[in-house]
Amino acid sequence: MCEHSNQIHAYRDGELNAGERAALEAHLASCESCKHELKQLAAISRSLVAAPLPTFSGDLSARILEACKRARRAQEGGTRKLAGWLTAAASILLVVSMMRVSVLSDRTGENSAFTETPTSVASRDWELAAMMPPAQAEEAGSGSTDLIQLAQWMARDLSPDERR
Amino acid sequence: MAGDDDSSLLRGAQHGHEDALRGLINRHAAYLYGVARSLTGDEHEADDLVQEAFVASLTAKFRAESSVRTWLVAILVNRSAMRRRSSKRMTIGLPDEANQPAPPTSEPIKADAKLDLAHMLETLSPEFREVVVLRELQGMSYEQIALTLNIPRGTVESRLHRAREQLKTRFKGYFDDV
Repeated sequence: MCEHSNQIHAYRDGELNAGERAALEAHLASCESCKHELKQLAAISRSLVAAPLPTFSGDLSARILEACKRARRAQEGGTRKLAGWLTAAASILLVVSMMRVSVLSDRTGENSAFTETPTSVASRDWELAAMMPPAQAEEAGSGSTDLIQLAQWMARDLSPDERR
Repeated sequence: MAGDDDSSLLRGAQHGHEDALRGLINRHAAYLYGVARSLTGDEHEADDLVQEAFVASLTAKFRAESSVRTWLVAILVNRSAMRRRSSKRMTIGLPDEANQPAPPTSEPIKADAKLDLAHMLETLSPEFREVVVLRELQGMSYEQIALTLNIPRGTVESRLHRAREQLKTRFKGYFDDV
């Protein structure tokens, strides 16, 4: 076997640069072994390209279409779910930050009590609930106990005095 | 849809137009199945692979560096290689198929034998079939094959070389007379 036979594959596949190609073509003119190798590679390519492809039975097209629809539905469902979670997370963040701002402004601003906004009213109600003694909290009804407890935690958490 | 080119059909299919998707499937499903069957040697696996390739094509980016058909075949071969690698991970300890000699063949195939692609490739390892399909049928460069299969360019070259040597041995009389 000729030492250039390895290059014949790359030559056949158009992978040699101009210099390598020219050198190999010069060699091919005088090497019967490489010429034969090249002819065989060409024959392999022709045979593979000309070979009929196996055919399928049944309705493959319908199965592909159904698979694509399923994938699209799953993708859309996933996107919707993600959008829902993001919206919920954004809403919670917004509510918490609004409450935090209003609590802080109520505590720091002397005149803020005279300019009540819906948020300051809401935050005052939260604080009121947080300061309720346990007995009063019981009277407020069992359904609101959890809410009151949550308000107490939040008021404690947001209170500047507690943080000191 | 009959007059639309493949790129428009692909764009339409990616935007959720069912007619465009049907058009794309009608044009390429049979060819893709033939390639998949030749790669895997198994009709059910081929069926699954073609479905996976079409599903992947709905979200993959087509850069028009090749025909849509070649792009679809590249997706299919890539998926096939991924499946093979993941199944190989589950059978750690078994020898690498690509490094095994070709299975013993019986009589050399005669030139007048009418063989389909699956029969021609059946004695090659899956790794060899992949590079042969991408190079010989799709005309992809070594670099493109390396990117598609996520292997080094030198590996593409050596696999292709060895695959052709095996084919030459098996089809000795066949190729001499072609």
